Amino acid sequence: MSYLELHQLALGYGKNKTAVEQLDLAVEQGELISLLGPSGCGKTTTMRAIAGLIDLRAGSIMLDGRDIGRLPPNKRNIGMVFQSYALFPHLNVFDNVAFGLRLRKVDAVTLRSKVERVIAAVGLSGFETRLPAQMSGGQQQRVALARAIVIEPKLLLLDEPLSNLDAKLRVQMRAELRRIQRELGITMLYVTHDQEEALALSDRIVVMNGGKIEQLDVPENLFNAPRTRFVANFMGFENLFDYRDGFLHGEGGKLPFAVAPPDGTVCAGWRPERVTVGAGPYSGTVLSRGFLGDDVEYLLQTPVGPVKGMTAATAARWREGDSVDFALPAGEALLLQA
Amino acid sequence: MKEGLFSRAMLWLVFLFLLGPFVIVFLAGFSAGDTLAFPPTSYSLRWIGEVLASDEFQRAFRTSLEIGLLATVIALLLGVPVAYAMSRMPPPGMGVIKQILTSPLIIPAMLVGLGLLRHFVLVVDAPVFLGLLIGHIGLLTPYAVRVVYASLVNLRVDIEEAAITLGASRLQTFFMIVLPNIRSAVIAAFFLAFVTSFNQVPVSLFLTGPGISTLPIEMLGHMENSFDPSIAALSTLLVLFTMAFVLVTEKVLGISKYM
Repeated sequence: MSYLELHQLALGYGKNKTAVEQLDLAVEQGELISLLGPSGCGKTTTMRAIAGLIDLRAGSIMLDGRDIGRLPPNKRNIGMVFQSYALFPHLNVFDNVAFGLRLRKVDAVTLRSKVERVIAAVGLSGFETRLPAQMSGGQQQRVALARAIVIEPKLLLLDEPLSNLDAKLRVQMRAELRRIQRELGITMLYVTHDQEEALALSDRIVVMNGGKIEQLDVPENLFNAPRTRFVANFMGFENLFDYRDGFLHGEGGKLPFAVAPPDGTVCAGWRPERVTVGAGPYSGTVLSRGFLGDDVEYLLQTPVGPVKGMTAATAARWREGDSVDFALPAGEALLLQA
Repeated sequence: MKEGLFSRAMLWLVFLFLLGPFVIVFLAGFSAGDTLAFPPTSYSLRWIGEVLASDEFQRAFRTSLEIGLLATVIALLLGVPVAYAMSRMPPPGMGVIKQILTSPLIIPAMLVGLGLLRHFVLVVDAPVFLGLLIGHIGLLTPYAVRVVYASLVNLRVDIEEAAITLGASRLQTFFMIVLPNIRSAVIAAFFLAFVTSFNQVPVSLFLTGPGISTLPIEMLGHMENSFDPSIAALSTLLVLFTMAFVLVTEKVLGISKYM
């Protein structure tokens, strides 16, 4: 039995709105697992259900061998870091962090040492008497994290915790989160819509779409071998075409596909950087070009619809409206059976 | 920027219009004569002293204070939970509820008083003090709800969720997280409701009875029977009392941002 198990979870809002259907998920102890998907895919709903902030319609949540699905949220011992940090505005850093321990009637000496240790662990020693309003977003983020981990929760839930930080700080906090997670061996469930963040941070990633799990895999597999169109598109395979009877189909047109793919192939996809622009069996018209430094990105109008490709900036002599040859190399294609 | 002569003149006219009557009352309050006259022929603290020594006024002042404090506290005890429920679990028909809560500001207080008289005194035959108290509670609760609601709407819900995931019960969350963050609104509601009750005439007019009278009603009665400057003296004291009250709360809490 896994550490955290969701069985046939069904969640929704109001009477008829369904957010999640028949969700099964197993997480091992000490694992950092991400729920990844666009907004409205059910990832935040799932996390809030685990925290107990919304009721289950059906199914069960097992944590460490215990069914917590019907426990009140304050009895679950699950830490949560909110997207907006949700610090208590009237309490200073020390009291914010100490809040959970005070409710647990921890004696004053233990409380002080635990709170100071965790404040030091997130790098905020010396800030104990500051109010949240006197701190930067990154610092508030650390307080929120410290407050959630000081209660030694069985599970730590993080709801897009880095999305309000600027890009540089985001990358820095990402590494720090990873370090703290490793040090404490804490099991984390991380909700994000940013695939780069999920790939960099997670042991495994759950890609969700429309309230269902599309694919559950380690980052490498998800990146290199997505199994559905949705995941492929999310992982950067922006050129996706139907495959039937030796042809790629799209927008009513078709292009011959030279190599016979394995039986059951219904879709072929390429990342923009795998599409050759300037030479090849097909030709298209340049819709737009974007200079990216070393490379130039082209959007081409082709018989199967728009194709995005890249070529070295030094060779990129085509302008909007020019006709240009291109190739979709069979060897580089991602072939999907679904 | 230089203001126009016209707008400056208007400003002073408005000041004169608002404060002029008070100046008259204020000066009349310090009159030494036997009748209310303006300008007084001579000045003294005679009537101020009389008012302070008067049994009826003292009793009425105490009643006003009791009714005001009790009604305000009860209105808050009712109003704060109502405001919390409205902001966190908006019931169906929220618009109607909001309308009802503003109705005491729209419906003439005279009508409210008459209605309460019909009900408490003529139908239920409630004791005068109780009727008066309930009337004031009914009058003040909407104020309490509105002021506290405005503050609750601006308070993030996720800090309550955070408290709950950290182990707090709903009740603990309310007292440890919500209440400290709406404290100034609750205090502002307290002062606003108290002043409203203390200066209330139309509703009290119907609900006071034998032996029990609030200060404004007692003053009204006194004015019908005699024409001495005691009312002016008392009004002066009351205006100063209320002004000090409002000034202090505004300075300390900035209540104007909740109105």
